[in-house]
Amino acid sequence: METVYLRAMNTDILLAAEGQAEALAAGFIQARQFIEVGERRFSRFSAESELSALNRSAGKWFRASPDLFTVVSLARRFFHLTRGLFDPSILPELKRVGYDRSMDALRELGPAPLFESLLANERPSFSEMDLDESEQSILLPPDMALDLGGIAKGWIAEQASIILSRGATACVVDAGGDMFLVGLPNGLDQWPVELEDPLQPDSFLTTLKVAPGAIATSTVTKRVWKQAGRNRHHVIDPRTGEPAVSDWISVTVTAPHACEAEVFAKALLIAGPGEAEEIVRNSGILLTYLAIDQEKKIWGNAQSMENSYVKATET
Amino acid sequence: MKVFRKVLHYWIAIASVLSFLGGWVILAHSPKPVQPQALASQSSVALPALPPIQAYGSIVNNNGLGFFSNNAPAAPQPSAGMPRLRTRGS
Repeated sequence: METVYLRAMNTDILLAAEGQAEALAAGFIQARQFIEVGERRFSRFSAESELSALNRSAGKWFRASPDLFTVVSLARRFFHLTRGLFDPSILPELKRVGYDRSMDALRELGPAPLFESLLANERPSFSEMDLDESEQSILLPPDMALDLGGIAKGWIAEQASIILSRGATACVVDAGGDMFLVGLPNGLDQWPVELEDPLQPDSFLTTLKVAPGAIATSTVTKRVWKQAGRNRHHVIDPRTGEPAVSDWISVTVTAPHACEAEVFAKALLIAGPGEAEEIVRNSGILLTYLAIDQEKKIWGNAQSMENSYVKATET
Repeated sequence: MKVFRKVLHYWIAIASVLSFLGGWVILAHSPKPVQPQALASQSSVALPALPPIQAYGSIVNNNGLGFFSNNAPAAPQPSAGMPRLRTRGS
């Protein structure tokens, strides 16, 4: 299996594929280019990105590229499917709690001080956003700004995998642990994917057997910082506008598509054990999830256990 | 003849009352049929709610991690040159 490593979207990215060397070389180049273009388009940390241009245009119609329109359309669908627990319009809250710069910069320079912004119940709801499919245009209400970080990362990883798969018998794009897998490696009937211990990142809890498709993890133990003496993390609960407080510290989801795995990993992490099962059931998507609590117990539902989509073995 | 009729009337009346009372006593001491009310309440008894999510911890091995270990085969061996994949959140 040939591999290429790169750094993009503030995370380490791995491209890996099996197949004819020449076809793979072309696939790696094209997939890499797609990722770099995607990063420039969807980054909220670059004033030149298309996403930043969309955010600046709040209050008036914005003609979007097909890629941006697609991802924003998906975001709206997932907002409804998760009952608002996935909400890309929490950017003001993210900034308020200090995540106003890239994680690399935040670690180097420290977070912004706590400042007041619109409270969660005062800002416009994401459901007020409007889309015009015929014009490929997006209308954000005044004062709305989007952060498409996770969903865009998943979508880019899946598209890059599809590009890479044109010359490969099996391939994966791994964007910081969130993956889209195509085909099966030679001699294997599923992909072995280690589930990292969220409290001890240098070890893993178990090895999952993952079918072709997507797997993503959301955790409150990464992207953490202190702001005015308070512990902060990047998973914002849209209902409170504050970093989510959950019985779980990490949720891993498998799904047919990468953006689904990304979105539902975050939504279920926020939802916690009280609501997770209902959200999965009502989604209409073939999802399995594994949640880890502070005691490193692994939680899930009966479907997770019976469904052969994901199985785990002891390590 | 008149007297005979009168006696017969009395006899029928007394026998009817006695038969009624006898039947009452027999029914009162016989096993009671299932009452519709009871059926209705039985059918509407709520089943105890299952917890929405079960901890795998209850079915796992000693280290509390290896759920699925009952039915899962051994971990697959990566093919040659295959990178280690790890999902970890970001």
